[in-house]
Amino acid sequence: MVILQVIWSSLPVVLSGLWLTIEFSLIAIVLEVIIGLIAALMRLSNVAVLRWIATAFVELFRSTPLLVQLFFIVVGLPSILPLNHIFGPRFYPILGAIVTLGLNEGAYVTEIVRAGILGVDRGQKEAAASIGMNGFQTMRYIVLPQAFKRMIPPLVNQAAQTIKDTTLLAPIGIVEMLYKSQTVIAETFKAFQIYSLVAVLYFIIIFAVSKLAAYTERRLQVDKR
Amino acid sequence: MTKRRILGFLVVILCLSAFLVGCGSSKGTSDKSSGGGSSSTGGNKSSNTILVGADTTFPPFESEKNGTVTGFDIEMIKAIAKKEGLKVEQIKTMPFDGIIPALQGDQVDVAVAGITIKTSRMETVDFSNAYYKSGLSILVKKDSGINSLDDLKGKLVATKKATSSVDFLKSHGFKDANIKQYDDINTAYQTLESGGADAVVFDNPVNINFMNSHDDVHIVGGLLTGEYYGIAVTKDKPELLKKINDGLKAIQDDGTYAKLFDKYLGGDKNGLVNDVKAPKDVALDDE
Repeated sequence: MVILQVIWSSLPVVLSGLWLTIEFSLIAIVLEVIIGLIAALMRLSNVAVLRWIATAFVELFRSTPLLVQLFFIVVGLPSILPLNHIFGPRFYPILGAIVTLGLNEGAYVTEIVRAGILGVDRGQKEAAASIGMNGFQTMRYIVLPQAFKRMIPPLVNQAAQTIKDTTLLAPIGIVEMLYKSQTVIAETFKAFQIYSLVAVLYFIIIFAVSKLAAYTERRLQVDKR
Repeated sequence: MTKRRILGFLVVILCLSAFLVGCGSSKGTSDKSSGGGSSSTGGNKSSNTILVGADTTFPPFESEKNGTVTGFDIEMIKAIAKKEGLKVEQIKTMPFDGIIPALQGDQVDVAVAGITIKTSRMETVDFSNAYYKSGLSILVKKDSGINSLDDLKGKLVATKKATSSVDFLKSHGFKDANIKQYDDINTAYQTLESGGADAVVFDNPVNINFMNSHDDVHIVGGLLTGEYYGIAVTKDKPELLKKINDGLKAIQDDGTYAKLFDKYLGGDKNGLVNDVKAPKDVALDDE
């Protein structure tokens, strides 16, 4: 039962990291939903420039690895711009990392939202127009409520993905659960036990979120009713 | 979520935990296979030629540029060989992990790779007298006004994750929040360059290597810890060990040795060993 002693003694440090992981995840999830909504509406707008910008943003963030993006923004960018001096060397890495995470996941959310809106039957729009609604009203009262129903399951999935992706903050020196656990391993040399604990903790929160996705999916089966 | 689903979830967690507890008691040991040296030409060598093993991924001590192996250690061993009338037949490059096994297996006679003299290593190979004093040092921007470890109190220090530098800083009262740890030391240097940290505390030779290519940084406060590098020699050749020691003494006396510091270490003389330091007196006790 030595393993339990090691886990027990390292628990406070790892849990303090878990709290940071949850904090970063929540901020990133809020950020990515806002970014995703705005970018999706831009992609569906009638103004060509807006469409072009949003498409470029999505493709850029989807076609490069998140870890590279994080290194680029947090480590690379400050070497040509005085970002550490503007935001402070303690705050900038966290800010840069969260914003990058939000943008990256936001690119995926953009596609989820866009697909949700496009998935609403054309007849719905025509019906709205025929009872005299304008474009904004159609969006607000007819299209978006139906689209949101479809979006919720993949959005919850994306939230789970975001939690997993916070582990990529460890290599760039941001303190979260993985980073904390690695420092504990450096002191105790009990890699197996500590990583086991970390894996179980991640499993618990991500599995819970994934189950939430499955549950909402069952509740919101739009088509099958 | 029905009751059954929650129950299923708990069962999964319990199974995982049980598996972990079950595994926790088993202990595995793995032995490292020796790294790749090229085919051994041992056996029929005349007594005045030597085969030298080196790991070329440790500039400025050893590095490989366009196929030629150069560096502080390489030039030093060649100078020693010349003094003693030995001929360096070949420099075999191999990963650091493979060096000690190669000496044991007589694939090479001597090895230079910035090898720290440690008691555990002395059981399997012989060491020459110490030729370099290494340890942790502080690298800062020249205009930072930081001149010692005390000046770093409360400032941000970058280093490589989970290395002895972290232990050192923690034992000297640095808080976790003031130590930025990266998976790769180069990221720590980048962070220093871009103002994300006030200093890098790391192995002095590595700091020197960065300093050699960057004009805006310098090393302050001398060595914070001490360990010594020695030339490793196979236990089968005590007479060769004596020759290496004599040669080392000779190049120390005639100034060749000191010149290497100017050529390869940017004039950083923190590591200069002036006198004869026997390996048993300076070995790092790691047992």
